[in-house]
Amino acid sequence: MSYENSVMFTDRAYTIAEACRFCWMCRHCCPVGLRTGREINTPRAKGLIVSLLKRGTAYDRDIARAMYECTLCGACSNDCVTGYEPPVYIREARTQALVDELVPPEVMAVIEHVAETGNIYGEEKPCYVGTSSEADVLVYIGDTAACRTPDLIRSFFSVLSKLDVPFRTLSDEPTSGADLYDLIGDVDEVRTACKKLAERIRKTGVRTVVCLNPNDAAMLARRYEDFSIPLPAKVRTATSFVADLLKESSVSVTPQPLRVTYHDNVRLSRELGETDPARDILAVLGVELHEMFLHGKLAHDCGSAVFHAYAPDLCALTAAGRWEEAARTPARTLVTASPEDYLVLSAQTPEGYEVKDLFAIVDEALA
Amino acid sequence: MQSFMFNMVLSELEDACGRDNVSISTADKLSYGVDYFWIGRKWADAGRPLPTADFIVRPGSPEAVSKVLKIANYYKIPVQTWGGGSGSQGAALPMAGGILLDTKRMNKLIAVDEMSRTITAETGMIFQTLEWYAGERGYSIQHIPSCLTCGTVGGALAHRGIGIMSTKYGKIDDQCLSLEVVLPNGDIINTLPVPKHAAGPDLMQMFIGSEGTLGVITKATFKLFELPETRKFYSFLFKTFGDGILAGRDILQKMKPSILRLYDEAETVSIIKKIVGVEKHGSFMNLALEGNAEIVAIEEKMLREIIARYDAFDTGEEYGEKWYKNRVTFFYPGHIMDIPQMFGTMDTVATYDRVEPIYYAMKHAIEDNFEGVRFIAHCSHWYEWGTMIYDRFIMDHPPEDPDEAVRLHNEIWNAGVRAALENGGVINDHHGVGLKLSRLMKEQYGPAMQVFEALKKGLDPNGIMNPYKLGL
Repeated sequence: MSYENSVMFTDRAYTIAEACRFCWMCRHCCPVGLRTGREINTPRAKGLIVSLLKRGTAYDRDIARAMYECTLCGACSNDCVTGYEPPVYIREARTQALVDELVPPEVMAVIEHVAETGNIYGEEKPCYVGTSSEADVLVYIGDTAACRTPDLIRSFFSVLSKLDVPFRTLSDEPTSGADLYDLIGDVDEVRTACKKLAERIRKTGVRTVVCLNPNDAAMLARRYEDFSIPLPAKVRTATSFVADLLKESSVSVTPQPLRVTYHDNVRLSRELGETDPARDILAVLGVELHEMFLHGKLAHDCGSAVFHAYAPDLCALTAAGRWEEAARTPARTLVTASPEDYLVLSAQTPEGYEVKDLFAIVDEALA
Repeated sequence: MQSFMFNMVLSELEDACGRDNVSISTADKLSYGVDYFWIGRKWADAGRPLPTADFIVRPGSPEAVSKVLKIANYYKIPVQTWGGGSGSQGAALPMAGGILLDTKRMNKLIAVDEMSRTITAETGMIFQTLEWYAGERGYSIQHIPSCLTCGTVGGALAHRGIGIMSTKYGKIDDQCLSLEVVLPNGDIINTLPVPKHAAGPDLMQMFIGSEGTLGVITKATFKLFELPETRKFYSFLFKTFGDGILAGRDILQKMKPSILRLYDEAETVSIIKKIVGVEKHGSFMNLALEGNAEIVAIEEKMLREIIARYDAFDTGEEYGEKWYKNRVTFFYPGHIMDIPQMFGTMDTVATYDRVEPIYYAMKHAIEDNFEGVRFIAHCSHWYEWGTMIYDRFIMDHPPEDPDEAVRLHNEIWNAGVRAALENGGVINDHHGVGLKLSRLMKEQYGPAMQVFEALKKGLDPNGIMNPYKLGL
């Protein structure tokens, strides 16, 4: 760690910020920057600010708030030819904001929800039971699906049952730590949450964990490894798991007469490099897919659940931006494969359009 | 401002743009304190106070821009317009404080007219977004600069920008058909619907390149080109830079390559070697022919005849394509020059008879007079009558002291640009003037500068629009 002017960033974060502060190349990808038009909402400007903190500029509430005006979608990292990752210094700036008690109150309220209940909603998380307590497959539901989009859970469970896959869930399912990691970065509280979930998974003895939420999948598959927290089970995304099942299954599928466009979840596409399985599923379902101009790894983020929780107005802008892109296709149905995207995009659905969950369509096709 | 006068102005600006779109926050102010200009970067790197505006405004419409300019005129507050902030000349920096007007909320696509093959948008749109809109319909504006992803539509117009396809498809001032402009007094005007006419001087061209000194460009219409049926890449190695210049001239008499770039020997053995992988010595040229496949086949035959006349070595399609694929790699961190180096792109344009004399005059003026400074160049935008010289100086170990470094920086610029002017060159091809070259505009124009000064005085009598820039 480096300690200068009471601001504490890792050397890696400083190195990236120093590279980004005079580089303009990725601003066209930033969903928040594009929708707000604010210069501070560019990776360059945020990098510049971090570099100035190192040079004596005081970290204040304005700067802290700016660091939270980012969905951490990774579009900037994906664009960078050199391989720099602006989310590294943005997350660390959030950690620093916490240390310096500069976190904006609306963000602090969400952090407190996590401290009180384990999830960003500040609610008791409902439990969902699988089909077999001895199953070798564990479905990790995640906070957003459990608290906000229970229909998506029912659809997914129904799909697994129709494909003859026994599965179990965790009672009092602990949080993955993904939302808290976005809120305050790599701190002890996050690692403690991760260790708790890893231990619960280890105790089940399952060999496969299927994450309904790509954000959780990215956390378990990538960050746990970074944190040296071993996971004894293989982490699968719900999309890749179901795509493989459909390939192997002889169950009959009723073609769905839908004309759709598909929104790539950014953690799925950019962090996990997964873009094909959802499209493979849509092909099996026989739907007419019209791609948005920016799709796959280039897709603009619509906003995440945690962003929606503390910055609903900004999230409405990013979601509306994605809807505008969807509306330029002939499709009137936007398919998502993430509870968070479903939640965020549903809240901004334009008249004459609908959001459909991928697994809800699969469920209908298998019926 | 005395007492609560600041708050009075703030309230008026909020009334014009909406409270959420006016800011006096530290974070916002700092984010506009550095553009691509080397001195701004050096200042930031040294931890010196950055130029900051008192008010950041983000109007969402030309009407809101009009209100802001009326307020600014009443209180005689400077207004600096900012698009993407990726300009290299310091033109967008808020050197006079006052208001910084960020155009990026004005980012709507207004129309795609496939019948006329035109596209119209608000000028705060990132140019890449506009190009995506065109691409969705199977067209391109063919304005593909290295700042495509970071500059705005208005930014490209404000400094007379250019893209890598310019030799075939033109500069931004060739590609633009009409403009909407908010004048300093708040009036919203439109230039004529088409750029070719005999209805007096060209009103549109008075605003293209005016760098925010004569008003704010809020809407623009551009040509659309059908995507080419074929695009073929070539690369050659000439014995000398001079041979390459003559070959380029001959090529332009027969055809219009979309890409045509010629690197001097110094750049061939440095940047081209690093990014494209060419190991040989000489002067590297890469180009692309595109359009109808049959026409391209004929052009290729003629191209090879010209190349043979100059006894250039064919380095193959691969290097030409590799350059194209890596065309923006050059500008990412680790590939582009950066602090602590001192550097600048002088970007001179001239007729063919002056190109080599200017190149050597600038090279001597810089390398002979400033120890530790090297000069490299390439020609990347070609015309029937001449070409531009993308001439750069690089100093790996400049003075650490910012005051000393800035003094040296400006001395090098003065020497290089004056050498170009003395040999018949024009101060700049496509980066603009801004703050960086402002002091040299009178040397460039001589008594002709009074035309610009009269225009400025007539349109902006209070001198509020982008002070200290463009020599106005």
